[in-house]
Amino acid sequence: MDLNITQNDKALIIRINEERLDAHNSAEIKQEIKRLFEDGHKNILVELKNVRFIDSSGLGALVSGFKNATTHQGSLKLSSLQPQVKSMFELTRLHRVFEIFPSTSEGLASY
Amino acid sequence: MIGTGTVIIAILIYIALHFLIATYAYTRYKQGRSIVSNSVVYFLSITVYCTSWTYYGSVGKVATTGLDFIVIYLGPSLTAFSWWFLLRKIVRIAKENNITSIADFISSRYGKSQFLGALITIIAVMGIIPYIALQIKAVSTTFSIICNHPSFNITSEFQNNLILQNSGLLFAIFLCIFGIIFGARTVAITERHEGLVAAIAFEAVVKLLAFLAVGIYVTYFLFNGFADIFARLESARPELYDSLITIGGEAETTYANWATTLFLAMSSIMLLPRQFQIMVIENSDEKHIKSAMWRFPTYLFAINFFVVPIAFAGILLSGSNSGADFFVLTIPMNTNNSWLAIFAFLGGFSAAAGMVIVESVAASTMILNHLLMPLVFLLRIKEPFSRLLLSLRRLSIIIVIFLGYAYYQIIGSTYMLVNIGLISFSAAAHLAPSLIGALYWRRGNLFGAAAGMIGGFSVWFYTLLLPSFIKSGWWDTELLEKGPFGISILKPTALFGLSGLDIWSNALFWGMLFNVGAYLLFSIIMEQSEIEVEQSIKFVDSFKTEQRIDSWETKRLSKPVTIMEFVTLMENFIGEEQAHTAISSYLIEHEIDEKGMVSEFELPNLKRFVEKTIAGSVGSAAAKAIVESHLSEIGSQMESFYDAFRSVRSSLEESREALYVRLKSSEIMNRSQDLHLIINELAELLRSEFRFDLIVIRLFNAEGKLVSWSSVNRASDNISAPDIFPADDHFIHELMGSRRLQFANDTSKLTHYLKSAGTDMDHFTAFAHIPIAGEGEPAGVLSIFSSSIVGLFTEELLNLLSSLAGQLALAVQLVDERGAKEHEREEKELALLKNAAVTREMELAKQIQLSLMPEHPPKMQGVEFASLTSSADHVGGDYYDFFTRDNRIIDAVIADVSGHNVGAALIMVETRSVLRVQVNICNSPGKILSSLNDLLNNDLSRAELFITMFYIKYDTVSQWLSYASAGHNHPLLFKASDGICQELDAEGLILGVKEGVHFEEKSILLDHGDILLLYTDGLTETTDSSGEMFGIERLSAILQELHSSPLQNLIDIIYRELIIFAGGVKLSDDVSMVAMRVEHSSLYQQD
Repeated sequence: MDLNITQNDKALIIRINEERLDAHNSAEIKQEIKRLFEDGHKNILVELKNVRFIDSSGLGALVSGFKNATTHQGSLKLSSLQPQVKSMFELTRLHRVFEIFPSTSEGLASY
Repeated sequence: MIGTGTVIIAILIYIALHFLIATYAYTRYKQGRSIVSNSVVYFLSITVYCTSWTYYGSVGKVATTGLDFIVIYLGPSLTAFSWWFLLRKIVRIAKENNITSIADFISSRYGKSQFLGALITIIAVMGIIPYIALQIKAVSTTFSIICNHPSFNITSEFQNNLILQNSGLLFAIFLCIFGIIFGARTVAITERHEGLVAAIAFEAVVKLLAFLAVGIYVTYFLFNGFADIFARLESARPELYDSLITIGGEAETTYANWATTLFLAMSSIMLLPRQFQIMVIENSDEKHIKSAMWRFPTYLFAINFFVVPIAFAGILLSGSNSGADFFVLTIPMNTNNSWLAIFAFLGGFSAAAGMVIVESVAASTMILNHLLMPLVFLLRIKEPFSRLLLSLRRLSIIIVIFLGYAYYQIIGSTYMLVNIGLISFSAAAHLAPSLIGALYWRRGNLFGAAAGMIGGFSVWFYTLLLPSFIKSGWWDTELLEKGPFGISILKPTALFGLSGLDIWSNALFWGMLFNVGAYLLFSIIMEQSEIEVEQSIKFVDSFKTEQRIDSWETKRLSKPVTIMEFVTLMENFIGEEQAHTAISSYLIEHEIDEKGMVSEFELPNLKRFVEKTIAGSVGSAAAKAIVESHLSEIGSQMESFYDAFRSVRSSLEESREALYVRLKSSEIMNRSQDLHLIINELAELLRSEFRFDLIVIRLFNAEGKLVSWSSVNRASDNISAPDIFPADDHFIHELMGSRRLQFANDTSKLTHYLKSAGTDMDHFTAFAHIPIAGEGEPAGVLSIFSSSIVGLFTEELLNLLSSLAGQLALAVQLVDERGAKEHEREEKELALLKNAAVTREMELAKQIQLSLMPEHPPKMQGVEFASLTSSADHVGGDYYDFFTRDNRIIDAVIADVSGHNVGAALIMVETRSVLRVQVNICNSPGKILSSLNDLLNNDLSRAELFITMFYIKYDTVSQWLSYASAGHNHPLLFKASDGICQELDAEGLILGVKEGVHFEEKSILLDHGDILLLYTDGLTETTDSSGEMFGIERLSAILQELHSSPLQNLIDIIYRELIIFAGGVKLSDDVSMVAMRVEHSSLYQQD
């Protein structure tokens, strides 16, 4: 799983460099986000610029991350969604659950 | 008046004193409180150089030829300055090699040659016999002078007394007794003779004091000091005075003569057997040399201080220089000072006795070791040797002294004292080139040394000894005057027409020309033998202590020898007690195993030790022969370690032996597929071909540990080598990092850090770790150890070993691959079996799950249903269901639990149960989803799953469809009225994200022929090979085209199209479809 994690002064940015976020790799990102919150990070921004496709497992991983954020009084925000991914969020109405930003800089500006 | 009896009593008391002092010193030595081991005694004993020749002869020489006597003492004084380098080096080498004599020293350097030892012994003994004769002559002459002098009360009956007649013989007997008791007490020659040395030091004091006493008496009591004596002689004998104090005039005092004498004196202080004995063998501490360097010249200065006054006074008093040799004795007698005369006699006695005793002991050692031992050895005498050796040694002392006595009896009365001394010096000087070369020139070899000595010594014999015989009337004087057979060019005293030189310079010039010339020539044109190379390093590099000489061992014993066998051998030569002492001193520092054997690696060392110990008794040449013959008798011999590589080293082509090893190893590899067998045989091959001390072959196991597969030592015993991780050994760690072989050719040169980092450094002097690797990661390590050979791992050897390791790597790889295939097959079988079990379980689960789905869609008036589900795995997360509320309203639901596993399936089952209850509680799709979400949220959160769901409620009478969605795929609604498809959607979050979600409920009026298709995302998201999704458009198109087909047919076709689209492969996601077609309203039918 190709993840690029950088610490910004406002939030921790996880850039997912995978074309597909599905059953094959969703467990891994789920674990990673969980670990980061447990390590004490509060604000995490997941950049999905490179993700072309997300399936229910991928969504599940992000939802799980969202729930972890809630438990740790933190936040999980998303940015740079590709159209197909965005439609998936819209379909599941998860775009109403997550704060989603068109770009990472806009995401960071929200903190 | 003092009678002869008094003289004899004085002599006897003095002799007794000798024995007392020697015994006391010996006792102290045995108690470990030596009185001899100090620098004063050391330098006093060196003055054994000053014999009766000095004591009496110097005065005689001054009285006849003038000042040139001084050169005899100037020479040693000059040499003394070099002692810190030269003598110390000789002492160091002698101690390290248990050297017994100068003959042993030189022959040991040139390959422990018995021949050279014998040759040197002959030269030395021939050189010293006249010298010993001289001493006996001096004592007997002075004794008769003192007894025949009128100032002594000689009774007539004593005139013919046996004592007087045979004083020389009696003196010789005393010397023999003393020499045997204190010079040949035990067999071990290298043991220092403390009693002897103490007596010599005592004599040194006596002779100095006596001479000074006479000198002071003559100069200050008979005359008024130096000036007075010189002035009186000048006025009385002006011509003689002039000639005596002028250097260079007559033939005897030319510059050439001075130079020759100086050279002879310089070399004799080092080369005379007695000097070597005292300065080297009897040295107890190198530090003593330092102070002796100035004390000894000072002594020489003191003892010569009054020589000129005594000589001049003698001439003045006696009126001539005849009998000048004994002025020291005759002046006190003639002036009626009898006690001083006796003191002077005892001084001369001391000077003579000391010389003879030390010389005879030194000579006996050489005779025994280099002349008698080879004979004894040749005769293969088997009885214990030590007694025999001691007897032979004592016999040798007697022989040497009586040879001197015989020489004195036969020709002793012809030549002047000083000449006999110089003949001796000249003989000894011929050892100089070989000795100096031994210390500083590596290339010097046996041929050179032997040829040089034979040449030089022949010249000596012909130009000096022969003339001395002729002058004694033994031979026709014609030879001396006209040359042999009248050939004047071969005249001994003017060889090859070289006239104008005195006899000494002539002999020295030609002797040295032949000696040095032959030494250099033969050393350069001839090769050194192996042992010579070894010895030359020991000798020339003796000060380079950090370079351990032992480590140059290139030989080994072919068959292990027990310690007891060595002890027995030593007992034969040095006695039981000494042998046991020696071996225990050795074993303290070395380990032995339970079989009474030292470790394999120690044997060459032990052998060398035994040889050295025996050399202490019989000299190194004989010791070498003894030990080697003994070993060969018991079937063991020293063999070279890597003869196989001699030829490889010298040429780029591989030796036949190396090729043989390669061939043999590939044969081993090809013959067997059993890796254990291959590795063991390879180790055995390496052992037998190269006789390495230890070979360990380790291979990696699954945990990355190097497991020992084979370890063989030189005796072919399988010994256990530990399994290690690469990190345990610095060098193997390096090897893994670099994937290159690691080796050290001399572990003593490794830094301390590396020593502690590697294993087994204490035991081995050289090692190599060679990776057993083909293309990839090393499969293991081949480790080779040598306990003694420095520089073993040459490039050629390493190349060969690497190539063998490469072959082995291939074998390991093949075996591994075979094993891997086998393993894979077994794995598969096992997996199949396991799978079968799991499959059965899963099949069961699937059957249960499928049984929870409606087997057939319900049949109802006004509506037709069809459904299909296909799970990617055996159990899935898709779910659909129908709930008939009454005969006009029917609910349908489709859901997809995220994930495709048993967990998802269980959630699906739970969802079904909860939903079935909820359906009965409320009848609005939105409310049902809302309460379902609240009920399932906890479980979904815990399981980290969620559900998308689409819920419809259809009234077959009113034809209203109401629906709600929890983030589910938009169902397709085909409107028969316009023939196009539309998507249904309603606001609603997926189930399981949070509680209290509101679900929008929408309604739409349907008409006859409309088709609603509910599906899960597996349908639209299935991709073809190019990654394109099946998509909603494709689905709509099928729907529009086939809307009139029977409903079940329609969804079957959709599914088939999907399979075709996916390229005929198994679908990765579950696919479920529920289709509903509106028929005529049931209302009409009721009508």
